[in-house]
Amino acid sequence: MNYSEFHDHKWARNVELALGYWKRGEYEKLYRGDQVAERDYFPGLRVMGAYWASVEHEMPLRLSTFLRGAGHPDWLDGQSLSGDPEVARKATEYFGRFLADMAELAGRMGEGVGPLVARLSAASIGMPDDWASTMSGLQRRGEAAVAAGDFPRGLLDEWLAICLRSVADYNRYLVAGATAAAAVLKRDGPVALRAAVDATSEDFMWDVSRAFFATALPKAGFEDIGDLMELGLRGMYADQYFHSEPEVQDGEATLRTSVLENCELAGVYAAVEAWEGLPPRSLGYAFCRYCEAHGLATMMITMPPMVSPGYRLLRSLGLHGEPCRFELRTSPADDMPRILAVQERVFGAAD
Amino acid sequence: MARIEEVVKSLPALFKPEKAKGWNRVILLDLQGEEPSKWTLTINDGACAVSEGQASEPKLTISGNSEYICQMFTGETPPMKLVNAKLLRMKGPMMDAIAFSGLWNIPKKA
Repeated sequence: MNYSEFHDHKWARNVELALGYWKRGEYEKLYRGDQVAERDYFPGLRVMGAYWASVEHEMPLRLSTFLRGAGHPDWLDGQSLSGDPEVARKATEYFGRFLADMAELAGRMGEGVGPLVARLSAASIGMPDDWASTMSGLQRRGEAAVAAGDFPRGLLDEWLAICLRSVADYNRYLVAGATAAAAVLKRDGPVALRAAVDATSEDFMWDVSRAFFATALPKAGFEDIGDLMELGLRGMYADQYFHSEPEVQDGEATLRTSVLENCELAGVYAAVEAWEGLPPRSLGYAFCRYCEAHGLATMMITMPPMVSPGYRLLRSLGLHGEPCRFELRTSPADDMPRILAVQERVFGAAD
Repeated sequence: MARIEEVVKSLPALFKPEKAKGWNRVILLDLQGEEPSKWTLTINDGACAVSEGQASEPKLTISGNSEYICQMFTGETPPMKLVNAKLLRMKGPMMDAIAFSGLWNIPKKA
């Protein structure tokens, strides 16, 4: 393995689980998800497909946002970093190592997954223009297959194929982001790296929210608030191991801490740090700060108006080498102004 | 009076106008279950009005069984619990669905 199996390849565990449900004829669990351990959940094909499609929108945005903050937007040319040949060459090489990991894991699994991974290459993994109609077609056929109690292997393979393509494309941009951050750190220094993130994290917070909530998720058929809450609760299990600690009261406020035990970004950035001869966690700020901003926006969007949310990253894999601890603090409030402001910022002015 | 009618007609009294500043909406309750019926809530200029049937094109449609609407507005079951369990569906702008539960003085069950 070139990258950490624990941090970067939870997709493989979910593919194995999916194959198991399919072989046992447990189609409801295969499609809608299942609790597999006290702190682990199989998200099901429907949620997993939408989750991967939505985070696939996130990674190019992270990359372009960081490069803009670093003063190097010219490095990015379409889907590649060809504006800087050295960074582009390294990003291609490091992403090749990720695809090699995927092939190794697929080979280990057997069960016909190898051919699905073998077709993935930098030239074939871009998000197709018709991804949303493909997904809604798979959702219709998935619902029908579960209802009929007959889920053809070909349909499972189509679901796995869209997930695996998204996993690869997501990681292509993630690896490019880590490689670009390493170049900024080496050439421009740590102050410049930090400044690039600080200058752009608030923009990212709203841009990524628009990409998720106003674009990707509605296109993926996730508009009903119950569906969105399910995606929020279960989707992260597509690539993470996480749990919530018991709530704590602090006066009128309620504190909820989420612990993310692994992180796909931390794993990729750690690998790139090592290959680039950089100290561990020297690139952490380049992704952890964006995660915190993304989380705060999500809480501002999803918390009801009778509470006011605060959100902060207490510890992280990228900055401290420890599981990420995100604290959500909700206080009783009349926070309708937040709802109206978020509406305008993310979805446009309401009529 | 039918239970759902009693509950829905109590909504103007539960409404918190100060929470709806600048939030004017037509909301349709499209109910099945024990008492299938449609109700239109019109929130305008800090006032809430209820009428039976579908009066105009809604911005937000809440669908599900009438008994779950009763449970929600009597405080028997928290709104988000019903939504998360998909016993009530909300179709319309996401932020309208998030805002909706904050507009009411729902009794707290001990």
